[in-house]
Amino acid sequence: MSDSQTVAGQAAEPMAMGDREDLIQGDVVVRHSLYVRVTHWCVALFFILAFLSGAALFSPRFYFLANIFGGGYSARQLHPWFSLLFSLGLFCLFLRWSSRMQWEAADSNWLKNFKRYMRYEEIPDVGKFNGGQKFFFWAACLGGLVLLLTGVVMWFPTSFPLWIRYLSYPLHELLFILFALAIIYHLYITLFALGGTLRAMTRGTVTKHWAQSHHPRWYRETSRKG
Amino acid sequence: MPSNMEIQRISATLGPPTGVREAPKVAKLIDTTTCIGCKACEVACQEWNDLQSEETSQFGTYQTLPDLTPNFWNLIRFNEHEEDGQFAWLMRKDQCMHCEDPGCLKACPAPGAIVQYNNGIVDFNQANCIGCGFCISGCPFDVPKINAKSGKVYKCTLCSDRVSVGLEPACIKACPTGCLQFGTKGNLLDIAQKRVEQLKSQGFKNAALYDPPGVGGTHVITILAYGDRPELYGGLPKNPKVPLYLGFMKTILRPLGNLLMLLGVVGAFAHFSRYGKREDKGE
Repeated sequence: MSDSQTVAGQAAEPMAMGDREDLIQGDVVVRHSLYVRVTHWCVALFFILAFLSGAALFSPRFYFLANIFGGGYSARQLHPWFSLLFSLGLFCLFLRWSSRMQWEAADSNWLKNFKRYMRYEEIPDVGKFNGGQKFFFWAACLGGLVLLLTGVVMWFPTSFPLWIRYLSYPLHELLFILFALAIIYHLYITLFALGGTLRAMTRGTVTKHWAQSHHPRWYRETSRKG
Repeated sequence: MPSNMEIQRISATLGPPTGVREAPKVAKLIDTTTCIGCKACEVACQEWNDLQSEETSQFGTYQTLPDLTPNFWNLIRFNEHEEDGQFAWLMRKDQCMHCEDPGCLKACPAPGAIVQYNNGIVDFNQANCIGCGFCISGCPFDVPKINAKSGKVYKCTLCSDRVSVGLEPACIKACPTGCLQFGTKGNLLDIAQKRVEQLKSQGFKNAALYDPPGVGGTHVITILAYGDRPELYGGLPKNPKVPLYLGFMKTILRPLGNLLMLLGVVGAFAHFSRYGKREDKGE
């Protein structure tokens, strides 16, 4: 797909509106409903805000990031509120996706083929979400919960016994590192590596070819529905 | 924060600060056995540091407040103790201990919010404090207190402003019995040792100087008649240590995290260089 075709296609195709997804609309397949997309970008926004304000406190090397928020004091004041909104958004995604993210044998198979996936080889029998996406989803939900719980302890330290505080600080930082690594991967793979993927979260649709190539079983099931 | 004292350590700052002037290590010696509980030191602290008075509650002792507060940095703890049918009032001056290895400074993520001068005083700079409260958990003595309104943390400065111009801390000046002394730590250790020997010969077999090694020693040292049981003195910890998680985060977790994040970005670039962008087939 060349750039000019993408632009031309963009003009011709409508954005997927409403709460419908997993259906074929002309040349494209609706992958994420408007609700999912808005929720995802809310989570993304508050993740970035919480991440940057938290990074400032993580290491002196990143303290300069506090300037984005008006200095260390306001970064510290805003961080828990960004994080609460992030947690809320993540919870909405959890409610929406937890049933779609049930682990299957095909997902274990996908994980085994992770190296091939990174070499852009096609993996057969992939449903709407592949094993990596499911792993990312459950890791983010669990990690988000741990961040929330340890974060509350760090927010109101004097309300908790010392041993809980002593656990919370390193756990919060460990989760910060894991989330940082996960987000580097997530951004790279969706924005740069996998062509035609970002539009699933912007316009809500993907091309039929993309669907066939990345999520063949999902495409088969969707086209059977009509 | 006085600017005429050489800084030895700065919170959240890479590398040690430069300094050419040397200063003797200072200390405050508290002899709990000669404290009469007059609270002159409390008043002097409030006066000198211009702290607002706090409303207290009746909790069955003569102690001024239940705990230190952001506006009350020097609290005489009144502990009633009975042993062998004898009653004793164990007074203890609760305040920042000015650790040689300060857990608060280690925990602080705000550059320059906590400093340690080369004379041993640990000082908070509220202008740089971001109110995260990490120091509260990092302190083995539960000393720093956060002001709920300003969101800044406060504690005893060892009157760094007075010490910097050659004066003793305000509490020392006010003490009528001489149970508080100020000077170089070396001198005070000698004085304390003599006093401990004296107490032992008077029947306090376990008398000891409280200068806990778990925090590298402190610049506020306390003579205890019951040195084997510091917890009798209003919960003074027997073997305080800089919490382990601080060292773990500073020397392992954060450098490792920074390295992994860097490797992640480099890995993404490397992958893109090798494999480029995946395009859909059939178009």
